[in-house]
Amino acid sequence: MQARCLGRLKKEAEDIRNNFDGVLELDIKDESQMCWHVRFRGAEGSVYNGEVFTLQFKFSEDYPIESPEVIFVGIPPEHEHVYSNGYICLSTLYSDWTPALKVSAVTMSILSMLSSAVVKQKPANDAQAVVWMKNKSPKKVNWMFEDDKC
Amino acid sequence: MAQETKELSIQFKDQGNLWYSQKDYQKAIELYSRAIMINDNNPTFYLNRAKCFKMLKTFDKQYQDSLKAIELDDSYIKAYIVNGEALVELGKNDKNTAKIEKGILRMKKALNMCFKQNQKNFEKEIQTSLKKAEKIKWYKQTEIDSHDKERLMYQIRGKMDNHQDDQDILGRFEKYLNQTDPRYEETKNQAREHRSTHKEIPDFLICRITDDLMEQPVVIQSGFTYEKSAILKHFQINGNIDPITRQSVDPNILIPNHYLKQATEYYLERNPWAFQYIPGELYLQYHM
Repeated sequence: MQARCLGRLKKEAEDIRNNFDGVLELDIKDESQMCWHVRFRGAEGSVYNGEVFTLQFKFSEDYPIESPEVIFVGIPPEHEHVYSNGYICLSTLYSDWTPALKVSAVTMSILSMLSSAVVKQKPANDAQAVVWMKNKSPKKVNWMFEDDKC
Repeated sequence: MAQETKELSIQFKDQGNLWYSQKDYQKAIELYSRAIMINDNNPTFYLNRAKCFKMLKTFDKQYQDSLKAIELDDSYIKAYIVNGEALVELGKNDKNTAKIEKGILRMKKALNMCFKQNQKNFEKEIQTSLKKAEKIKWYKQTEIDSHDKERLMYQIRGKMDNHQDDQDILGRFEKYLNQTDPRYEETKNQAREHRSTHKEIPDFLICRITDDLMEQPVVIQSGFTYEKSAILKHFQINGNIDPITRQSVDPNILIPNHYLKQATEYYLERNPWAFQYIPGELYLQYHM
């Protein structure tokens, strides 16, 4: 199982370097390759134009069958589905995950989620939610997916 | 007395096995060597030590020990595999593919013995080793071919110095060489770096979960094909949906896709590099 996950991750890394050059910047954080940082720029014409964001992907040995843990690190974008601790409310990261998804596809769908926002706005319950999400993996949070964008 | 020393040597071997399972190969080698000092007639002691040398990438010693094991017991399947693997590794640094081919023969012999001794349990392991060996042979052959051609071009160019007409002929000749062997252009630089350039395996041979060729392709209710172990694990973790279409499926419907399996074997025979292929891989770092 371990070998399978590493093989696919190596291919994904190569795919990002070859096919997303200039869009996604990959930074593999640890030697065993189980933690990646992916940097990207807010889309032109969106409210995040030019801002740089970093997503952190943590993979388990059962990746891609088990979803990766994905959060924003550094300063997260101000968005109604992104909490100030970097947690993201997006169903494909949790209940709607399928192993046919990849790091590049996940990042692009987060980028498009940001691009469709018209105003910068934190989630309504941000302060409160951040408190009760403390020390909890985003995958363990009971997300309520309110609308189809989410 | 003889019985006592025999028991002692077995004790050393067992301790060696313990260190081996702890991945302390130096310590394991020490203990197997002690066992051999007392009793140098037991092929298992040599083979276990050979496996330690394999883990430490000391391939010449792996070769010697596994050969000794074969000498002591010429029906020792495992010893043929380990010996063949050592030959393939040693052959990587040669100027021809002789050693690699010899290694492949050893593995084929092991496979034959499996059939004769009716020992199914090694079969899969040998098949995997054979595919790895064929892949290494392909890389080696490609490297040799491109070196040969480059040297040839260099020599001809030297002889044709300053003759404009001949230079044109030379250009056409080089173009011809590239056409007859599409690997040539691609591998010219690759041979120097021992790094593969980007190659494509057709999507229809690839499992969307493992992103690799399939060992046991199975069709599920949606009509898509996946690696059996991966799709079973997916059902267990993510529920009974198709990974690509997300439609609900009956997890009990898993039909072996025999034709796709055949197609994969056919493809691998012609493209040995595709086995466990990772773009940009360094072939010298690809081990048996």
